[in-house]
Amino acid sequence: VSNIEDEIEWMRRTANGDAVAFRALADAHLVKIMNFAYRVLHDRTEAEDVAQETFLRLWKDAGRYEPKARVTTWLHRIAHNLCVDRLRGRREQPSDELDEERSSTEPGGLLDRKRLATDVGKALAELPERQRTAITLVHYQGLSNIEAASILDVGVDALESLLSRGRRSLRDKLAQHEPDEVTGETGR
Amino acid sequence: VRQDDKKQTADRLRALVESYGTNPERWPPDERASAQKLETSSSNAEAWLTEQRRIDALLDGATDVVPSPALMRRVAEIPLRHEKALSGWRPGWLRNLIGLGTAAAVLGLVVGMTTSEPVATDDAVTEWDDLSTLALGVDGSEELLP
Repeated sequence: VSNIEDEIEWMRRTANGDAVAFRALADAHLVKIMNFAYRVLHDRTEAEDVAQETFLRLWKDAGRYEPKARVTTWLHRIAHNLCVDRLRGRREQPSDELDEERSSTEPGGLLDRKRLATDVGKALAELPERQRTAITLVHYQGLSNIEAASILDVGVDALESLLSRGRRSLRDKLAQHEPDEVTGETGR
Repeated sequence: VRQDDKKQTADRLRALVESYGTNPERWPPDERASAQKLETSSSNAEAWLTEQRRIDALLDGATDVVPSPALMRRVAEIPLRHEKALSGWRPGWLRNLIGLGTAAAVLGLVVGMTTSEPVATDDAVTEWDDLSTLALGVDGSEELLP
């Protein structure tokens, strides 16, 4: 799937029951949706469940897709709604995985890249959900400000506020990392 | 002063970087070119740009996850295991038309049920007989005598 017109065609075919078209869309978007759900939920099992449910919705509801949005935006919106549902259900039952990671993370010391990745994941998970989702959509998923704002149902100004507050919190949470521990690369 | 010019102040550049980071590819496309020019000409921006570059680098330190083979298999099998709830591609305008048609049909049904003529009663038959008498000079209610 190479461009928007191709994706719309794959969606049309999927809506008409074409399994080959569905699998092409899954090939193109599964990794992205899985990573989005993982960063929002910080739980691999739940992220896989959300990814599977997102593609089940794609199969069943492709006919509802409006070509005015990119397919990736449509899928991210579905996945985001599913993540929010899970986070609401989780409030009374905190994730064991998060607690385990928190207790195994010691401040200070020489931190390798794996440790940095763990700490960044933990710091992201500790952000309020909407700040975390905003950063994930813009920084990791590569969505535009308008696409990210539409998924979060906010205006661009509100999105920018979520992003800047989230980045400030991350800076504070990760203050123990020395500048030379992190790479100078900013693009992904 | 044009709105576009006002936006491209140093404050706006800082707000952009603090929201989207230092990679211009993540900046809003309509502000990208002018913000990049401002970035290169801002002499006092280095301190906060350095801080934001560090946050970007921290974020880039997170690793991606790879879907498990089991998940990939389950997703690939979705068309085999699940019926489609909606059949066929319907563009937005067609869906709207179908929705409008359905609403009109339901409205018509409701209106029809609440305002239709009552079933003929004895009174109605009598009224019809009276009209027949006036129009034809015949009393239809009486049987003809041999």
